[in-house]
Amino acid sequence: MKIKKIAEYFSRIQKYKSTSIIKYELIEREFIFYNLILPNFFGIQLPINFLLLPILPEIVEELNIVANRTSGSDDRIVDLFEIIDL
Amino acid sequence: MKYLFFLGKGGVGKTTLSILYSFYFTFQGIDSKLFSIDPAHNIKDILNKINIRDLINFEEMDFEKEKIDYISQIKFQMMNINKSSLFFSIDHLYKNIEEYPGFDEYLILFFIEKQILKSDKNKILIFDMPPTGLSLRILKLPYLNISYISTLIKLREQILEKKWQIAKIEQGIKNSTEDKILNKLINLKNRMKNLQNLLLDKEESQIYIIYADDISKKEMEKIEKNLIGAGFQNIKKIYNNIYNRNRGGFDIPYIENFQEVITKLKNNNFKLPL
Repeated sequence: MKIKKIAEYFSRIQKYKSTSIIKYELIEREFIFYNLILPNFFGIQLPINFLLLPILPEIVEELNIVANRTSGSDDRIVDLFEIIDL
Repeated sequence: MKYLFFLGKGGVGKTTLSILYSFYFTFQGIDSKLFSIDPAHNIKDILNKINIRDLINFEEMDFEKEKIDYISQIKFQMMNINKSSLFFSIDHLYKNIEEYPGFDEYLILFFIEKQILKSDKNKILIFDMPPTGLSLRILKLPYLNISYISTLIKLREQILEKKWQIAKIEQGIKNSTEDKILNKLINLKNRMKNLQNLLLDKEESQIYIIYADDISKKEMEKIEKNLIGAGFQNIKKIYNNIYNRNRGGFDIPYIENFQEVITKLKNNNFKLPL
């Protein structure tokens, strides 16, 4: 029983370690993606990309999910949304 | 199907030549339609000077109508957005939308796309294009968008892969549900690819660049270089003899002589640079 518990404990650590790296990589890619796609809808720094406008509803939906992420201050995407006052 | 685009510096004879081609095809019994997609139209003004305007099939793009249709289409797509959760004012976007750089380019590009897709296979479409800068931006839009959207698709796929990896480790499942954003990006890329294939088609697409003097020749060279860079292959250059009769070009007639030239064209006594 004890061995099983120890095994579970190490398994959790392993999962945390591996997912934290992947989560970091995910956030980095999301950061680049949103930085590339968001200015297309503002029309302030860059002209609006009219071709991409049909994606806006899905982007807004996703932004609200991501903005509620509770991953803490190391989440650059959450920081980005705070800047744009989502 | 064939579609011909007439480009060149203002005043070199694009509209005149595109009208002559339209008459030529009509006299040959070929189903054709002439479109003016220049915001400053003058096809009607030219045709009003002659009394056989009803012989050819032509349409001046109705910019106001196209704008209203396009903005309604955008509003329809945005209907499901919860405005309170939006990070900028969408009403502000609608209010100024037609003032944004790029609006006319997409409006005209989608108009060209619509005309090509709805036309019969045997038809010839003739497009009298707007001034050079605008024409180049329109014709290069699919090319530019394809590389940009490809980058977004690649990033989106990486994001999804990471999400699925996390789901697999944390929940032991591979979350491979469809991603709406990725699907829409792929659809937009396909739309632009199809449009680019139409515009670059070796058999169907033909660009005519007209020039008449040294200044318009420089502009012709700029257009040619730009379009070759974007993959266009069927480019013909037509020198209009109007200012200099010793260069061995083509005599694009003056509007005053139009009636006479069209009669000659009908009787096969006037040759166009085909």
